[in-house]
Amino acid sequence: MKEENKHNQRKDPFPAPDGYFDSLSDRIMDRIDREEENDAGKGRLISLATRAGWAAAAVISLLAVFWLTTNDDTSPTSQELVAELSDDEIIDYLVSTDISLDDILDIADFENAELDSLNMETMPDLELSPEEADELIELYDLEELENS
Amino acid sequence: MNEPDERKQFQALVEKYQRRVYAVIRKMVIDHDDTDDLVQEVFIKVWKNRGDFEERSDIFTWIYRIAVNESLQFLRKKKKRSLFASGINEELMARAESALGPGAEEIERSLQKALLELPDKQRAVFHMRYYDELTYDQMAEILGGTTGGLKANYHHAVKKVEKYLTSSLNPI
Repeated sequence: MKEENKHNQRKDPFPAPDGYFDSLSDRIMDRIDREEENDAGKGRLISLATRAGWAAAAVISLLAVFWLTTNDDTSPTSQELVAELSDDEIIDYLVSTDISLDDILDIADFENAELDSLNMETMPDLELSPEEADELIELYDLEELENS
Repeated sequence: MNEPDERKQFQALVEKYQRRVYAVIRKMVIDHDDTDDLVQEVFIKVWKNRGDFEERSDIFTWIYRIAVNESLQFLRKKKKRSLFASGINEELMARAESALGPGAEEIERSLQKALLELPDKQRAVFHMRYYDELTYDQMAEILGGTTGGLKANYHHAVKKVEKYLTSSLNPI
C-alpha cells in the first residue's frame, strides 16, 4: 500500500475543513475514555442488579418455604372425597365412563384371592342355611331386586 | 505493554491514518459531519478490536475495511430510513455540489455526480482503484470476493462513469 505521504495522488474532491485534524486524535481518545468509563459503570450496575436479583430470589424462596410449612391445608384428599360418595354415585359414574373391568383391576389394590373370585365366570356353590341367606339378602338390599 | 504506552501508540496510529480514513469515508457519505462521526466510530472500533488484529495482514488494510464497512452500513441505514432511495442520492448530490464549491471544475463536478449514480459498493470499488490506487488483492481483502470479480466490477463502473460523462459534457 502507498505510504501516507503519497496519499491523494489524485486530487481529493472533498478535503476536510482547515484545522480539523489538529484535534481529531485527542477527541477520539477522549471518546474512548468516556466509553470505557460508561462500560465500567454498566458493569457495576449489572453487578448491583444481579445482587439485588439474588437477594429478591432468596426472600421469595424463604417466604415460599414459610408458607408451605405453616399453611394449614384444609382441602380434602381424593380418598376423602371418594369416601363421601354413595355406592350408587360411584356405580353411576363407572357405568357412564368407558372404564373396563381390566382398568379397574389395574388400579385397584386387590389381593390375589379377591382377583380370583372376580375372575370367576360362575358363582361359587354356596352352602347357606335359609337364615344365612336371608341375612345376606338383607345385607345387600337384594329384596327389591328379587321382587322386581 | 502497559496501558499508557498502548494508548500513546494508538494515538500515534490515529494521527498516521486519520487523513486517509477521513478521505475514504468522506467520498462515500459526502457530508463532513457524518464523516466526522464515522471516522471516530472507526477508530473506536479499531481500539476495541485491537486484540483481533492479525499481525500478518496490513494494519491499514484492516482499518480501511472497517471504514468501508461503516460507510456502507451508514448509507444502508440512511436509505432504510428514507421512503425513497432516490431521495438519498439527490441529497448526496446536493451535498457534493455544495462541498465542491463554485470553484470546482465542471469535469470534477460531473465525475462526482456520475459516481453517485453507481451502487454504493461499486462506488467504493471505484474509489479504491481510482483515488487510492489499491491493488486488486488489497481490494479483495477489504471487500471480499475475487480479484477477477473486482476487476469486472471496476471495469463496469468505469464504463458507466464514461457514459455519464459523455452524455453530460456533450449533450446532443
